Amino acid sequence: MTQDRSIRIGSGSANELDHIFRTAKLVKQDDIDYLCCDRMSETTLNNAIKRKNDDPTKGYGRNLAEFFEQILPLAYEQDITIIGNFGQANPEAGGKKVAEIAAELELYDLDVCSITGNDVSDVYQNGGLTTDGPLTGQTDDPTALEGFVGAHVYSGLQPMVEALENDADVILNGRSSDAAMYAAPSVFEFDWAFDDWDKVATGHCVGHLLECGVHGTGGNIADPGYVNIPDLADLGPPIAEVSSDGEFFVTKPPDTGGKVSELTVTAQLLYEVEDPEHYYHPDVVANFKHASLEQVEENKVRVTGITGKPKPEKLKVNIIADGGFKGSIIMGWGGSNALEKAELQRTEMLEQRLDNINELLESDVEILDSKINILGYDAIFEEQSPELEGGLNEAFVRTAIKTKTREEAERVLNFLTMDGFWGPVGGIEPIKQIQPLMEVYSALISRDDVEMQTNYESPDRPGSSEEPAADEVTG
Amino acid sequence: MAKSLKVRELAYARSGDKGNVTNVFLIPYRGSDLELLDEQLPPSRVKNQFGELVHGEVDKYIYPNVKAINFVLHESLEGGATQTLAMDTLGRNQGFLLQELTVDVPDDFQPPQTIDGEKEWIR
Repeated sequence: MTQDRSIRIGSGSANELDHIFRTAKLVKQDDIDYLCCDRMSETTLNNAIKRKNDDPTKGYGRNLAEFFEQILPLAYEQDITIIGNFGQANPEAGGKKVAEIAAELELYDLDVCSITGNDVSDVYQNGGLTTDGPLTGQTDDPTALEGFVGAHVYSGLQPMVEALENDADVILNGRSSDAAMYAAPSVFEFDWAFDDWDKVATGHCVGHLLECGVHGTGGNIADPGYVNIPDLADLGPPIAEVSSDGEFFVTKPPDTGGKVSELTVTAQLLYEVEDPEHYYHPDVVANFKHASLEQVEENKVRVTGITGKPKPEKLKVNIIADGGFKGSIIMGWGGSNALEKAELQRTEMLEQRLDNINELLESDVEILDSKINILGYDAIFEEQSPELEGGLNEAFVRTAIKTKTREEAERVLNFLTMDGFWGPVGGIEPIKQIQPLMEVYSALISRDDVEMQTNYESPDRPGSSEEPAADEVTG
Repeated sequence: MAKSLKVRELAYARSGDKGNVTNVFLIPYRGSDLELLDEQLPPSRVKNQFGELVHGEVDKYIYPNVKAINFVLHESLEGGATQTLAMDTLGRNQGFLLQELTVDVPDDFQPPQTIDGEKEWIR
C-alpha cells in the first residue's frame, strides 16, 4: 500500500429511524469506499432483545430489510463495503437475512459477516460485572435488577478488521462501539497497529464526527439570527477522507444541503464528550483536547491533533432493565388569557386530581412520580424559565406520570380526559400518550470474560446445495 | 466603564446527553473571546444558573485550539432520557440557559458582527 493513499468513509445513518433516502443519494452520487451506519440506541436494543426472546430468528434491526433492499444493489455496484450495527440483539440472524436479500437481488458473490458475542447477560447474572472505574451513565450498583432485560458489552475493532481481512462486503455488529465501526476501515486499509494509539484515536475521531450523521453537517445547529444552515430538508451526510498518516478531512456530498464549517465540526467534536483528554473506547482512550480544525475550502474541514493512550483495562457494558411506564396528557386553550387558563387548570384541577387519585378512582393506582408543566411557558426550562414578555395566544398543560404498569397509566389518563373539557372555556380535545420506560446502567467486564466471533454467510444460488461458511472463532 | 452582554451574543451553544449527565458547550463566534468567557464563567456560576435542574457537580474543560468551553452537568436529566418525565428528555435546550448568562465587557467592546443574518466566524 502506498503512503499517499486515502479512503472515503460515508455516514449511512445515525440511528434506526434515520432517512434511507439520504443514504441512497449518498451511495448513488458519491465515490465512497465505506458506508458506516449506526442503527442502535438503548431503546432499539431493548426492543430487539424482546423480539429475539419471542422469536429466536428475529432480534436484528426492524427495518434491516427495507434498508438493504434499497441500498445493497447501489453499494454493490460501487464496490462499497457496508459496516453497521444492524445486528442489534441477533447479528447472526441479521446476517442470514442480508444474505437472503442478496440472493433475491442475484448478488451471489457478496460476503456477509455477522459479529456475535456482545450479550454478556450470563456474566451479569453470575455477578461478574464491576461498577468502579471511569463510566458515564452509571447510576447505582446494578445487582439483581427487577425487570432485567439484558447486558451487552461494547465491542471494538478486532472482529471488524478480521472481517475486512476476509473480504467481507457487509459487516453486521451487535452492540459495537459506534466510533470503532468508522475506525475499522482506516486500521485495515493502512495497516495501523492496534497499539498505535494516536492513529487508533484518530480513527475513532473520524467515527465521533460521523456517527451522528447529519447532526455533524447542519442538523440540530440552525439558530435563527445567529447561525444559518441551508436546505434543512436535504442535509448531506458527512464523509471523511482519511489518509494513511492520520490526517483527515470532513466534507459532504455536493448538491446537498447543510454545511461543513469549522463551527459545525466543532459542534460535533464536543458533542457528548465529557473530559476531552480521556474519551474512553474499547480500543483506545482518545484525547480530543488539542484537536485543530481548518476550513480548507467550502464544506471541507481538515482535522489534526488527535492523540491517544492505551485502551482501558476493562470493557464497558450496557445494562438494560424495564422501568415502568410514562403516561402524558396534553390539554389546551386559546385566547389572550390562554396562559392564565392553563395556570388555572394546573392549580385548581390537575394538582388536586393527582393528590387525590386513589379516592377518586376507588382503587389502588400508584403514581411514582409526576410533573405538570405548561407548554410554551415552563415545560422545557421549568423553574429556570426566563420571564415571558407578553402573554401567549394559546397554552397547553402537560401532565406526565410514572407508573409501574401500563394499566395504571391508562386508568389515570382515561380518568383525566374529561377534565380537559370541564376546565376553563375553550379546552381542546386532549392528546394522550403512554410509553415504556427503561433503566440503563453502565458496568465494566473483564476482557477475559468476552469472546467475540465472526460468522460468515454467502447468498445461496438457486438450486445450490452449498452450506453457509462455518463459524470462525476469534480471540 | 463597563457594560453587560448576554453570552448568546458572543458564543454558539449546543448540548447532549449521556445517561444522567449532559454536556453543554460554548463556541465563541470570535476565537479571541474565549478568554473573557473562560474568566467570567466558572463552574459555580453555571451550576447556579441551572438551579434545581442540575443536582450534581459542574465540571469545565477548555479546548485551546478550536477555542471552545465544555461544561459537564452531573445528574441533570432526572435519571436519563429513558426514565425522565421532563419534556426535554435529552437536555438539548440546556445551551440556551447558558447563553442567558451575561458577561461584563468594556463600554467600547463590540460583539461579533451579524452579516447576512448570522454571526461572523473569526478564528
